[in-house]
Amino acid sequence: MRLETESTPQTLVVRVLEDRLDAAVAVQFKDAIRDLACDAPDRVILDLGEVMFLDSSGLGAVIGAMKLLAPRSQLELARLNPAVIKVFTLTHMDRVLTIHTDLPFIPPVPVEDRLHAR
Amino acid sequence: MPAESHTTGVTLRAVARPNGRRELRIIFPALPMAVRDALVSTLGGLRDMGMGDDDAIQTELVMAEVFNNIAEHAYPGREDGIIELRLLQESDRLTCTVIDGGQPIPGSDLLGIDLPPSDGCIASLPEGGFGWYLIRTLTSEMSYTREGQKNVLRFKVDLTRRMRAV
Repeated sequence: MRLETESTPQTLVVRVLEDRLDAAVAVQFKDAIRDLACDAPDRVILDLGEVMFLDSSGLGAVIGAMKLLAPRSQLELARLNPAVIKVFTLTHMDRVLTIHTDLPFIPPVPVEDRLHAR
Repeated sequence: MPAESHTTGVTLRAVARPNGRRELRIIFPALPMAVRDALVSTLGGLRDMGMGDDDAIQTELVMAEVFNNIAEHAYPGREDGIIELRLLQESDRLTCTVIDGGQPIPGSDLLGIDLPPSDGCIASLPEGGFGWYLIRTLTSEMSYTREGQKNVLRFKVDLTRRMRAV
């Protein structure tokens, strides 16, 4: 399971670098999120822009990831391809999760905050 | 063809049928990576036959759910299971037959036309139980028979766009 992360103090972006999030990798995906969950910030954005196919096992893993992160961190999804969004829509999980068409703008850390952080 | 993938043992054959119909047959091990290869091969074949994007998305999802159910529930803990798919292409629908030699499908699974229950609270959201719901939502004329030691599942996938005539 290839994942790439990018973080600011308030937001962690997790980019899935796989073209399929399916039964073959669902467990690995959930394990990888579990590893990130303990020191995740308030907001975790899962960038699924590379994922061209998701099945019900992949859906279950994303829901599992949301449950692992809650209540400390909120999971949001971004850049879902048509085959992926279809699974969320058909199962009504699009009503439970926050889904962004594009990667939301993540404000850079202001200079004064960076100085305080030192 | 036939074409065989040497990594996961997927065999694909296209068979010409009377009345200008074509049948695609694919036989593969009931293991996650072989299921992946089988889906990619099948969808490649269907796209070559002129299947549109929306229909391809729907077909791949249905196939994935059917095959994963077999790998997980018909052949639990086994690595020697085999799945056979026969896809008969008609202009506006696919007639699908999926055969496996595993354990029978419990009758209650086939009745699973409802989404798993959820009260909207994150902690109690369902992480499974979506498979049969997706299959039933995206197919028609579903039937299941136990023939000897085999499970035979038949269903149709209605297409929104006509495929190329053969």
